[in-house]
Amino acid sequence: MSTPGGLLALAELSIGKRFGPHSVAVTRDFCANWNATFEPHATNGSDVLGPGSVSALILRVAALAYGRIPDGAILAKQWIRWGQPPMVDRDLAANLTIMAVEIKNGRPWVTFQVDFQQDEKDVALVSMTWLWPTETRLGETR
Amino acid sequence: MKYSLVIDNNLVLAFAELSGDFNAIHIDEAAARKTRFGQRIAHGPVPLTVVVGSVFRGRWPTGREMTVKYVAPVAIGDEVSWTPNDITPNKGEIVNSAGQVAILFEIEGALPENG
Repeated sequence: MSTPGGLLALAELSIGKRFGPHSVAVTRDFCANWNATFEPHATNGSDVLGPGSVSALILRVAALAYGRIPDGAILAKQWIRWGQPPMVDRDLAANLTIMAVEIKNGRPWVTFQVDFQQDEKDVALVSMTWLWPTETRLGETR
Repeated sequence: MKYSLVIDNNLVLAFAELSGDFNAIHIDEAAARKTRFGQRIAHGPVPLTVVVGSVFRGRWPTGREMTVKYVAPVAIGDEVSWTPNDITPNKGEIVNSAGQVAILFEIEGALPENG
């Protein structure tokens, strides 16, 4: 059952549930904007994607998989393993897997993992653990 | 050497645009005031870029791993910083302008030489 906002309900986030593959475009514009804004130490321009971008890409996949991160969710942990650098102006194939759903002190914690591939080579594996809201409307979860 | 980054509104809006994460806690001042934080806060990965950017300098770190723990939120306008530690170069913490730890991180694998 989905919430009125189109988000999956917490009960639907069962361990092992897999979403995808989803296609995520790594365009030159995305690359140039990411590098110029968040990794200005580098001189990558629009040809080489900066490694910090995987944190933005995983959220794009989450949006494709189940709507978006719900209001009130708090990011607690993240893990990244980088593989081969992606080619720009090409798509990534991404799968999202629910790795853990735990209740601690009455609050739900959700861990999901996204594997990014391009031409069947691993580009990155990223996981995020969130303190998930019990309601999806901001202000009702605190 | 100390690396610093001011988490301004432009950074937060840019991350929202690039990630598609328009969660109200990051972009809606009125809604954010109703939360326990009382104000908008940055997406966690935004302050993390002060480390990723300065350590890897745009080079894709094939084979390396990074573990991150988000300890405290970072408000819009806050300045975060981290100082590389010669004794434990693969571990570090990002602190806010009040000196509070916001993010703990550890990188597995040899760090590249900067420059």
